[in-house]
Amino acid sequence: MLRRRSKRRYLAILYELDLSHAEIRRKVEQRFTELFGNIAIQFAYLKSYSSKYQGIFILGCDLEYLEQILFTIAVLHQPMAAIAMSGTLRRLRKGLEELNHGLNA
Amino acid sequence: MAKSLNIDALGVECFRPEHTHFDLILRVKNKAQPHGIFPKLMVSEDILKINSDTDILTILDLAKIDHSQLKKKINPKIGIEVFISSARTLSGKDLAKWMSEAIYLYRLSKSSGCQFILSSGAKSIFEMISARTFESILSILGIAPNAYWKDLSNWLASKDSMRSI
Repeated sequence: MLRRRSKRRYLAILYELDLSHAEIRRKVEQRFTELFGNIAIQFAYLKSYSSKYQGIFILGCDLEYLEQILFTIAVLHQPMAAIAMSGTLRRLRKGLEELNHGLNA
Repeated sequence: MAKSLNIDALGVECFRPEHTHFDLILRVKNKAQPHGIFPKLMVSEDILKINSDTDILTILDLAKIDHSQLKKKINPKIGIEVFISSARTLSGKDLAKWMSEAIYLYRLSKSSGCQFILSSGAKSIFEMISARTFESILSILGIAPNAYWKDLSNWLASKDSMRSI
């Protein structure tokens, strides 16, 4: 049997600066578990990544759980917005750079 | 910001004239409110205050809907609006109830010919919701995103009160 690596999606999340990355991840995990359960949170394989932009948090998840993750972000107590998404980290970071140029222009 | 979230038009309660580079739809609460060059929609937050001018009925608290009043008062011209921001403060259990009420409203709007409107209810950029996130929310609510956007566009286009002055 062939083992295929599951596809991932990387999200750039805009958040208010009074939170740390660890807190954001904990809040996302907590709300996700509350809504979709412990099994789903394990299979979603959430992983956080650094971002050079202040106020932007990068979160990776399994493609199959993308809808649930986006829903979770939309209904978090602490408001935050998923502003960009990509299938690779490199492309997401490039997209963020373009977005940053666009916002500063 | 809205462009980066793939949103074509924003519904706003007020605006500054320098923001005219973006498609805005003004949400007004009374007819006499000045609205300038932008299209407007009359919004009511009270079922009992719906009249022939009302375009949108905003339901702020889904847990307190008076179903019988709602069924009596709605008409095919009206849009029933639900704010996602109102779900943010709810517990997991209450959020599940919120979802079930939202699905009920969607089905009611389908059967009565009115328009179901899912809004971010955003008061800051952090509360704004991208088009892709809207589609995820719709999918989780069991609503086909393509059909929803199409119905919403047709409804907006059909509104007589969306007049620019």
